[in-house]
Amino acid sequence: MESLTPQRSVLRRLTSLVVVVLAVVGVVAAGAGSLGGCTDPVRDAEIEALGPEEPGVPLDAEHRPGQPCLHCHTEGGPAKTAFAIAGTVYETDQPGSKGADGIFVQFVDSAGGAPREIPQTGPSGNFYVPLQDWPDIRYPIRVGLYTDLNGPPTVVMKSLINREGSCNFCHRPNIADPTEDEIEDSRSSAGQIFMRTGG
Amino acid sequence: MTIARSKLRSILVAAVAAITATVSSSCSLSTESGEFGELPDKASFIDNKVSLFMEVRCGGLDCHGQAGRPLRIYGQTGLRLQARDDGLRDNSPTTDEERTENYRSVIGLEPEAMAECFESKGEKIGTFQLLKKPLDIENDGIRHKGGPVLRPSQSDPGWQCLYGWVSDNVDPSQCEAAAKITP
Repeated sequence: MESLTPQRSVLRRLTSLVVVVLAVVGVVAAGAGSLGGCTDPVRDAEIEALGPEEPGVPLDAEHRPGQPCLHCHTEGGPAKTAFAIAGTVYETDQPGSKGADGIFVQFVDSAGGAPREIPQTGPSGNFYVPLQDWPDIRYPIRVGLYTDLNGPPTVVMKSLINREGSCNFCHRPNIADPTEDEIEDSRSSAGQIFMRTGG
Repeated sequence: MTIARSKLRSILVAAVAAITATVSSSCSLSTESGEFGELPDKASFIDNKVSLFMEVRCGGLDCHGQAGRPLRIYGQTGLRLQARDDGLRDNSPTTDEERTENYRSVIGLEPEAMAECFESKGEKIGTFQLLKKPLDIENDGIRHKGGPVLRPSQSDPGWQCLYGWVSDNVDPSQCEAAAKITP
């Protein structure tokens, strides 16, 4: 039987301590990982419900038209850029309508403020205002859609935006041949944002 | 034998207590007209355009136009009571049924506090949330997720409308003015 020197004994105890500490850290890290870290479970579930990206659509300003942008594009959210407000404008009110390209979306808030730049829709109809372009946003907000900023608005929203930055949260895309559940859900949708009625 | 009697008595007491509790709770079910005191009536809510004011100013789909809210407001530009058959947006004017539901929602929030306020002609507000939530903290308001939306002054038609209604002194022109969204 070999007897340990005092130095070896201290070294062995120290090694055991390090092993225990590493094991504890590993267990905690694994636990946190399995719980999804320190995110918001409600928002995570809402994002999950949106489903995956459309195949073949690049991850740019035109992705996920019609979906509530600020679910991801918010401070602490999974997207890189946080938005103050964002949404999608369609050419018509018909289900499956094309996005309306080149529309100016002019906002004014309750303090008379507005985004630093007037956002304009892209080919998918999507528009967005980065949070850094409107950091002091003051609800409620009014909004109008313009094809030409020198002319009158083509569409003016009849009600106020009270606190929701995702326009598509209330303005969900219209659906062709909806199911009974989708018809019931339509009670709480203002319908898609559009420039003109009809096909 | 003594123990059995004691147990029997306990069971009887418990049974009587349970029956009493059940009966008393079923008797305490409220009605619109009664047990909380006098409440402002439905006609004053609808005819004086208090409902219209709340539809426009409170009933957005991102606020009280949501089915899960204790104060649930239906309206032409917000939540609808009935869906259209084709699932498209129903932009028709607010219906009488919807305004009746709005009235029920508003009076059902804190009926005792509302009755106290109504009977005292607005003198006793206490902690009545319908009047406290729209105000900012400086004006004795309480936390409201939508922030302060009214000012307790003569110059705010929204406050004049809401406070006037629960004080039995509503002016419909104030409600109408408050329901206008200025550009």
